[in-house]
Amino acid sequence: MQISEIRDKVSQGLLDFAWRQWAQIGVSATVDGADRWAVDPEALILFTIGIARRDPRLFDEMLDWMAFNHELLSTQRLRNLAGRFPLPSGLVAAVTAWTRRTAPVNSPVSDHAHPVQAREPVFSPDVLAFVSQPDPTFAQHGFIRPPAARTGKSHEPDPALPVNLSFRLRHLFGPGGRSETMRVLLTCPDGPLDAARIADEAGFAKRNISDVLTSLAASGGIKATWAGNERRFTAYRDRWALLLDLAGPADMPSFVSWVHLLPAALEISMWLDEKADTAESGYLIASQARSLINRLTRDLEAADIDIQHRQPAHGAAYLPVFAATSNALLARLGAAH
Amino acid sequence: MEITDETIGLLFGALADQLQALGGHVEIVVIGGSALTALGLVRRSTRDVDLLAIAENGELRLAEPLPQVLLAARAAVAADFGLDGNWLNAGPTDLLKWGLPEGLMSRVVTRSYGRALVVHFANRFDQIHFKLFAMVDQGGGRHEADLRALSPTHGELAAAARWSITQDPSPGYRSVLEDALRVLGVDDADLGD
Repeated sequence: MQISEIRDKVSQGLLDFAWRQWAQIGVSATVDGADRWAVDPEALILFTIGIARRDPRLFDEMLDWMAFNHELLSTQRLRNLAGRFPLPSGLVAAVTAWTRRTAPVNSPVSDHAHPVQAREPVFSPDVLAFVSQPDPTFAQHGFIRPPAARTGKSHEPDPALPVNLSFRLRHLFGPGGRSETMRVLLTCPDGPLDAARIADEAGFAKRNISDVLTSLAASGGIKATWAGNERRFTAYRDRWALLLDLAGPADMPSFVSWVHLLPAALEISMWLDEKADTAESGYLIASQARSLINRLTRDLEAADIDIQHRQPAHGAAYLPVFAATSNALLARLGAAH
Repeated sequence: MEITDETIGLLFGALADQLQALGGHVEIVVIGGSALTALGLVRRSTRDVDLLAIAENGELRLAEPLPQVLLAARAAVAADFGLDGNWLNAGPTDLLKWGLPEGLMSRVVTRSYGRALVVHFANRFDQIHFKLFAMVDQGGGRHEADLRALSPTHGELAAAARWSITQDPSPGYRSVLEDALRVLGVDDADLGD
């Protein structure tokens, strides 16, 4: 299989996945099927900022949704998670600044960015090569794109859909450490979790999450137990299922480690974009693919992706293994064709 | 993966690709089992590639420490082919300190791998020198087997013996050398004073 074929498949699969998520949380789009997992809004936004550089329409629908639903988002969490994604920090800052300026009720803009000359295109030249008039907010952060305007098509996430559990919890607790802690505890199947694991998945500092866990345990909403010298936590899922009007704990949306899966998926996609037209040898491409997957192994395994390294595949023979790992990634996202 | 006559070209090709990707260019002098295998003088597998020297601007220099770019390329190839991290090493480079066989570089077999790697393989005559020294210095075993496979003449062994004394002029070495030569069928070599 050629690297360009893998690129096309992964790129399309990830865009399909992104559209499907956004359609389920309130973007105007028609897609088939409904997912049983709970989305992670900030991880999805960061992933989309990267992947939609090949799909301006998706990028702009994301902006519209963010402007409409900004009260359901945590800017702090977006900042915390941004470092895990292979994204230019200026582009994330531009998206945040644009959303604040365009939100129905303007949030105070604490945007201290000095004007810099726009130089990096937001979108791939393959999909948008000419920009006659740059968007001022993006330009201020060093990025060039046509003026971004609200499409006005977004709506609120439907709380009845399993995929929108995060938003139900944010309506309950506000967008912060509590709602994310509860999302992790209600959905993660790994049994009692310690504060470090919860903080990692929740995308907040361990100290903050420890405080949250202590107060949630004091409220009786979750249970704390000691394992050695470490506290571990579980949610009373039956009580929470009742509160959330679910048929039972088994009806709870499923867990995906988005904070590990989506940065890895984006990194693979960006690497494939870089290599699709390369003149490098098949061996060198396979070598770089191996190095990439080795670097991402922890994230991929955390997201239950089957890393295909059961048998040795030397030199250029690693490329089919890389293709199989990419397929496993797409399958995890429900995007395999 | 083992280093054999079938894989050594693949490994040097991969090393060259990595060097080129890193923007490097390296010229190396290789001796030992891998060189014998590459030249088809001996047919056996080996675990490593022994670097005698790095060639730079027509001069040879010690291969220790290996250039950073070569270290990075070596690590990538090791990961890609399941090789020991030290598969390409400067083990025998100290030979350079006491002098190489006269005219070695005029006899090497040179192969270029892409634009980033040139490998000079020591030829049969010089390998007889290094193998005899290794046999005496480290004991028989594979060194003796390699030496016998090269079918050296009495004259070649005598020349190799005289050179090897420049590497270790001690009486102890000379005594073991004479024993080794006898084992190889040379009883009357003129080793000089």
